[in-house]
Amino acid sequence: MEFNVALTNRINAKAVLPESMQVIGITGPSGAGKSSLLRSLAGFEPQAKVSVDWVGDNQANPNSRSKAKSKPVRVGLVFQQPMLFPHVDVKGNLALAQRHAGEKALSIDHALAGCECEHLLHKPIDSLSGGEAQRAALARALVNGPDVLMLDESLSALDAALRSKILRFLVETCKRLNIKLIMVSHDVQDLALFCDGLVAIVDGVITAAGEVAYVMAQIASQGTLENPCAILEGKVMPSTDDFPHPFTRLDFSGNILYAKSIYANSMHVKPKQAKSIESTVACSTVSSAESFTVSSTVNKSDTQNAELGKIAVFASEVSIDTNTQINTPSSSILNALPCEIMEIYQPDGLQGSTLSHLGQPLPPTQLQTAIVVLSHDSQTLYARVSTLSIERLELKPGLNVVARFKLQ
Amino acid sequence: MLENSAFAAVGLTLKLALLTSILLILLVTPLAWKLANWQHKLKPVFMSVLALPLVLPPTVLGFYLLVAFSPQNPVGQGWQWLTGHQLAFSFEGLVVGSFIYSLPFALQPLYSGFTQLDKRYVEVAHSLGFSKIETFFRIILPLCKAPFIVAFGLSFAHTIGEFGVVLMIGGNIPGETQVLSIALYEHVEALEYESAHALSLGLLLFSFLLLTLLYRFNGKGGHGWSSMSR
Repeated sequence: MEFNVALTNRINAKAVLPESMQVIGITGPSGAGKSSLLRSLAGFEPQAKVSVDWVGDNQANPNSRSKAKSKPVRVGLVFQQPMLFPHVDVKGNLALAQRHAGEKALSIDHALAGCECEHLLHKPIDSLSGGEAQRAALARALVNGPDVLMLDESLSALDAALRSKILRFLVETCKRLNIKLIMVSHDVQDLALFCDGLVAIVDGVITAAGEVAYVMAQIASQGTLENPCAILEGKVMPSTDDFPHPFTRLDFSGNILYAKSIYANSMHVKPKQAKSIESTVACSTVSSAESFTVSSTVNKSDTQNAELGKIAVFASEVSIDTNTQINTPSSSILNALPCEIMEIYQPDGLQGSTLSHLGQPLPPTQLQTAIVVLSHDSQTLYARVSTLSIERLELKPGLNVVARFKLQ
Repeated sequence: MLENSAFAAVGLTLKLALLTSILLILLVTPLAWKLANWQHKLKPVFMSVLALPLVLPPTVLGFYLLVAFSPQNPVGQGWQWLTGHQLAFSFEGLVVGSFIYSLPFALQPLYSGFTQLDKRYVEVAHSLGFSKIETFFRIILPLCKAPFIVAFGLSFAHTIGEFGVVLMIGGNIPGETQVLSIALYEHVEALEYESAHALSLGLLLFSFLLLTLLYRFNGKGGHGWSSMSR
């Protein structure tokens, strides 16, 4: 997709994302303009100048733009406040949404089951809890069946386990029905696990857009995100009798990682379509008035039928051990991964001052800790460690260390 | 006790109040919606013009209307050209007068109801594929039920209690412009206190009942009509 949104004094956002990205996350500090961006894209901001191409095919055949766009794109937006119509019950809300159900609409039963709210069907709206209402609002959007579904912190009142369950259902549904899903969330872990692409926005300007790992690396280096989140992808090991523990094991190029739950994305890998997906990510920053283009190539091999699993690891959960003997366990922390230090983002080393790139003073926590970028077999991991540890352990790029983190 | 002219006055008053209230709801609803979504530095001027009938002595309003309705005035002339009879001292003239006189009582509840309606309900309705008309009837009308009932009830009650404007522009033609309050005035002038008592008590009880119903409804609906916020 491709969009260019301008809203006076608030937003000047431009991004191009490959069409293959079905689920796109938007992240940024509070007040960055995430909600305004979604509202503008949905057409709710009359003052905004918006040009958006949801499928992103107008570059291939620029002349077909007007002709091919005969059918309007239906955009559904679910707010953080559920905005269920209070004059009818949950069933009434779903019935109203069904009046103009599109081709991609789910049946009421299916949507209710997926959003875990079958028991709410006959409840009046004012009797629902915040989380229940959010689930019902999501079900209402799915029953309507938009072409593009935007979630503005729509599941924020749910506990992590339920949220992740519903997100799984949502992402699967959207991929199956070819619904473009755009979500804003404060939870970087959710975004990292479930999105194909990420857009980072700061002060109304897109600072990075593209693949999750790339954008995460960008925001880690910009220092706008205090706690970046890395995605590790490995093969899911089948449960065997000699491992009677209730954990999932991920084979991570010979190293075993343990996880409480993983996001299995076997459906991403289509066995017969082994090809390299080339994606071009263009991203412009208006503050520096320059634009740059990054190309990245992803190879998805189909030789093994093993299921791939993803886990998300926050930088704050990772500790660094200079003792690289990992075969004899000496720590209660289960996961140990040999890595090489790629880069260290010191709080004042990179920026050259104690000011962030926005010109605001950094919070004290960011002055005491640094982000260490670790690499293991071309996958990136972040560790948030104190500046004291960096001094004591003499951490520097090129050093081989072991990253330890508790099971996720 | 009450003769036929009194029943005619009751019937005429009810007819006038009903017609005025229906017209007000139909025409003031779009106006209130526009005003609730309109931001301009001239808005206070506009709003105060519309609220003037609240504070002006009804005789002032009636006087200006009388001047406007006169056949020498373009308004009165136009009406005469259209219908063949004059607007002053006619039932139609009373409807126009009552419409202006009671307009703030329909406008204020609707305006505050629309202002307090969360616009995101409307946005959600549009995103679900609803047209504007459909959004109004399926979402806005049910959500603003209380302001609508209050607007209708208040303009109805206020029109029934009208005296000064009718006296100026309607005169006292039985069956045409002699509404209850005028009939009462006439009885008092003629020292017919028994009839005056009957009419007064009737009006008092009716107004009391109507207001009680409105308040009761608001108590139930959870939306106070003086403060429609929750």
